[in-house]
Amino acid sequence: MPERLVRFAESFFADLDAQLPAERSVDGQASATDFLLYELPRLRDSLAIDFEGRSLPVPDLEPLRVVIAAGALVRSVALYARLDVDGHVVVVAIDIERRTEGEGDDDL
Amino acid sequence: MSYRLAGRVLNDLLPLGRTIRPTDLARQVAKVADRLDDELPPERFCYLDPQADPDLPRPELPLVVAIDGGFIHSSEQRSRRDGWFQAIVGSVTHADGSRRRFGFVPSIDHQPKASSTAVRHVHNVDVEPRAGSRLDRMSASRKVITAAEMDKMTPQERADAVDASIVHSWDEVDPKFRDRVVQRARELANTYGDDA
Repeated sequence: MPERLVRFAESFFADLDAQLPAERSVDGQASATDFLLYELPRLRDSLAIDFEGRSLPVPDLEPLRVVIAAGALVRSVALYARLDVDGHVVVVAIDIERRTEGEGDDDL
Repeated sequence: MSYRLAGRVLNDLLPLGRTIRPTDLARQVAKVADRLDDELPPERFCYLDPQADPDLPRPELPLVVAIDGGFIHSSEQRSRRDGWFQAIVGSVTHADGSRRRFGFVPSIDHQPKASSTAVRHVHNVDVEPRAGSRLDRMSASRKVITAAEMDKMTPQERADAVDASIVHSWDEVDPKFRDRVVQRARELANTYGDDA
């Protein structure tokens, strides 16, 4: 299966900056950069390799689809994406549920 | 309790108007056992999936398990190979003193694992994966990886960690998070219209 091109809209980065801090916190909470560096590449790869297989349709809201993951750095994450006219994947938004205080503290 | 003694007890307690013979009881028990065996679901190779649910509940300690077995021979046995079966019995005693007993006949029981699972279900000691969404289970059982740990991982380890976290059905999503996602999707659809 050929890989699709995956683009991230500006709104995606605005969402990300609003939901994760710019710097990694002293208690190990991931920063937006950590997410971009470590978690997003593989999610991007998943969308590129198998957009329909790795994402879920939202009832009545096609062509919008959502990739949901129990995130590695965060508790859970949802990427909202659609296909553009060229067949490229465009990720338009993100929702992140951050880990609660205390989770992962023993790793520090 | 033997069939003979059980027959006597029932004869004393119940106004049946006839005598219950030990063979009546044995036949009835065998009939019920056959029916229960027929109702068992197909035997599975394995009833535990540590990968699907790595955080199975641990029993409270101490847990004392006693197990024993023996060969039971027919009173009319004519040779060592004739009329016998092997029985395995045991008990599990919990810290609070409660005890559960189990037993099976490996040479006759064709679905020992399904049978054992059914018994555990009756005693409410199932070890099936806990109910709940995949996100719920994963979040509860899985330690969130810190950014510092990610620093130390190889690219492949990072990819595997993220791959393992992607859900494949709405049923796997925690209802609270699912509602939030659907609501957000609606807002996006309204904002972007057909371009969303």
